Amino acid sequence: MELGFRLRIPAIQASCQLNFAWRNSFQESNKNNNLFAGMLCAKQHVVRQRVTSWFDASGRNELLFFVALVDWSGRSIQFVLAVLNRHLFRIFSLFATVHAFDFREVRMRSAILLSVAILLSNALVQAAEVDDALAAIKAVKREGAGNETAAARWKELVKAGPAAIPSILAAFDGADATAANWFRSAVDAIAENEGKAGRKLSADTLESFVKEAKNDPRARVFAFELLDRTDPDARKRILPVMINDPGAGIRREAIEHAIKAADVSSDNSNEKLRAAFGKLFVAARDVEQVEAIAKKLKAIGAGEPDVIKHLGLITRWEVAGPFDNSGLKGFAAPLPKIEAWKEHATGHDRGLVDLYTATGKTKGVKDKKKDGVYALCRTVIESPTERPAHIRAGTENAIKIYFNGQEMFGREEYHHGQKLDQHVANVTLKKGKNEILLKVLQDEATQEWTVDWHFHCRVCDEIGGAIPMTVVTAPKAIPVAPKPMPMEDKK
Amino acid sequence: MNSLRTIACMLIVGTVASAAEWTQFRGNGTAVSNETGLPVKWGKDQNIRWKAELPGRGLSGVVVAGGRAYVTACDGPDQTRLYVLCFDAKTGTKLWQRSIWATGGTNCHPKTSMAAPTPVADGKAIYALFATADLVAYDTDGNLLWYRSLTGDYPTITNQVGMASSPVLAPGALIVPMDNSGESFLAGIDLKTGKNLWKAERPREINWATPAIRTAGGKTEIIFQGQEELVAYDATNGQRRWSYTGEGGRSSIPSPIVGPDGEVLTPGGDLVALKPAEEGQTPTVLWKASKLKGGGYPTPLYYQGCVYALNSTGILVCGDGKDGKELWRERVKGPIAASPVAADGRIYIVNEKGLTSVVKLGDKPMIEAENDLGDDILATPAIANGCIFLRSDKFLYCIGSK
Repeated sequence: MELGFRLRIPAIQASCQLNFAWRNSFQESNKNNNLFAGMLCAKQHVVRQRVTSWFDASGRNELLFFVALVDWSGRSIQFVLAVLNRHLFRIFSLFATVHAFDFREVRMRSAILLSVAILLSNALVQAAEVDDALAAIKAVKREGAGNETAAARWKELVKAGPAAIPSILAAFDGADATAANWFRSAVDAIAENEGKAGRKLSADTLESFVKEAKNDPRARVFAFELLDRTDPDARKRILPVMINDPGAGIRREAIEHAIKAADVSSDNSNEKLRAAFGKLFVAARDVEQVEAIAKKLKAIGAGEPDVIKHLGLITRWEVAGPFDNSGLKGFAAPLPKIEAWKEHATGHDRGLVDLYTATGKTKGVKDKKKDGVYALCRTVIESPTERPAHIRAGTENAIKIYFNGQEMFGREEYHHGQKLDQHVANVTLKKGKNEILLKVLQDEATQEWTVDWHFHCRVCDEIGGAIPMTVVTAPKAIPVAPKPMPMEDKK
Repeated sequence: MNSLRTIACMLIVGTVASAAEWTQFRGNGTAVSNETGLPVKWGKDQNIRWKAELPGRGLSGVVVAGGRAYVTACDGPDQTRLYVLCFDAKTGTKLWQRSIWATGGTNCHPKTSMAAPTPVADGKAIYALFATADLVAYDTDGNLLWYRSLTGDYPTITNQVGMASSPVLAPGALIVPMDNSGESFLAGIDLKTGKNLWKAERPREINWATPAIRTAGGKTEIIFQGQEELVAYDATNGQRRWSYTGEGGRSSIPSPIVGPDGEVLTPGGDLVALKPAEEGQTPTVLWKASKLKGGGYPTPLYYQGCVYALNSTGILVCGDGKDGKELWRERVKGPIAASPVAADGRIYIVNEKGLTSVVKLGDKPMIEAENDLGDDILATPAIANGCIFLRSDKFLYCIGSK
């Protein structure tokens, strides 16, 4: 039906007798407009199925129709484009005789209305194509299944030009990483084509998208990148009020902007700087930014902020081991039953736990041999509510993360670098006590750079912010400061 | 005696790349171009035909096909923005630029980056693999042909030192090496759809070597090596045809190369020249040369009958391609990450500080020029269209007379 309508658009122009746009709220439409009442009732179930993601059940929904009536051999044909909240969801056509309007009155304005309607209709038909293309790209599956269709549809997206950008950005919502990259590349191409034609993207559209916190975080950051290229002054305008943005990417941009602004401020007395950077420290979620701000605060006499608390780093553990990992068999080995845990608290300023210290195992290579071993590290946190969270761990060794008895993450890789937030497990904390268990493995390699065996771990929200929780493990353990570690070299 | 050998080597005509194209890592795999009249001397203000700014870092080499120069780059927080760029090879005009997000891990040694593998161009499309295991193909106008998140497909893929093996082109397939600490494989990828034609299991070991293509007896083989062994795979289906282990393991950074007579040279404890036998048979060892083992990052070079091994500190050793005997050695300025390339009787060696030593070959080697761009360069140069292409972390240079 939609295809038929698209094909007939040019042909109906000469014989079209009436065009008009009809606007009303969704809730009122069934009751108050007789012309469409029957049709809407008939299609209502279809509408509900197709617009789930566009329909705001709690708020006001705008339903927009564009209608063309054609006198064809004495019969009226209606073409109706229905749009809910700017998303085209249906194109109807049906045969009917219209009685509800005075045609003579409307005919006087028909030329103007016709033009407007044709333009709008074309735009909406294009919107339908864009929506179809977006859906086809979202349908790409693993190992490239659907790539051929997606490639053809990608070209349609690019051909649709800048008008398609809002829809493409909106389509990031719910898109997997593969689809997101198809979309990103399409917007790249559109933006580039516009640039070559000497045109700019709509800064207003991009800015509105960036500002709407409900939009997909990836798409918002991408929209910001586009906005930054289109309107370099936009960052000064919008970023200062976004340092607490719920999206990690936008927040990172905003804090980066604020750090630079504070550093070059003409009114940069230490007191004002301390206040400015103190505020930024509270807002920062990116680990590099947190570290940079902490360093700045220390330099300007504001003391050392509590980075461990800010990042949600866990310093108190119960440790068991070492267990056998010769031949790297420990990674897949079932968890042993632990009769007695040994309490351990780290005094490292970033929560690094040295497992030689914690387990009491001798560190280093002896007789050109090093034992392959693993340790189990357990902590219990108490959450005041049920909520999603990240368990983020870093180690240069292989690791498994268990949460409340379930294996959530595993990475069998040894001595390939170590950093905070290296590995992430998505979990849902239950209200009350939750157990985090780490299996941290060491291999038998004997090179000097394979000797280290440590980890750090934090619990945070999805953008890296500490969450309300209490660590109940090893409350009385005396913190042990490990020897200088690579992280300290970084600072 | 050595002089006579050198002259003899110089008289042998080896297989060389097409004059105008440089389509993948080390050109067509030989790192040799039959271009002549290339510039010998250049500098910041000399013989720079054009220079283009890049959006971010990269160790990937430039590839040139159909009059277009392609390069990859990365930037953004944690190197999560991955770029493919296309330039007019003659003018340096940027024709298009596309970006994707990294979908695999971006942890790596600070020396490398996510734009480490060199892309492949076949005149119809550009195929770019990133260290994040993101694989993307664009046509020559920048239209997205297909995209694969290989970590989406195979989630255990990981190499937190940073992957760098480059894809190569075989008849009808893009060959993608994916040796890492997780699910490892060598895959033949359909050029039109990006789907797997075949996928051969590989050891779960990190590896930075790039496969070589060898054609003999109507069969095309993919010669690929890791820490333990070198394996020849049938390019049509990924089946193992033969392998070589040797002593002391194989190199996982310098790549194997194929000589003009189909011999395979495999870097490792020694540089070993192999004469492959029939399918499934152990290859014959032609010679082993400890003095040609190189060391560090550069892949050896076979040029005009001689084998050139370069180590990362700058020792260039020339050996006879027939028996591996050392003929001479020369020191150039290091440190060096890029592999040497050759054309018109010269070897071009670029070091990490952007200084290119131009070594004139002959009875005795002569360092003809040391051309300093003062820019960080870890990528292997490309030679095409009468120019030498160098890419730094910030710029793409086209070296050639204007």
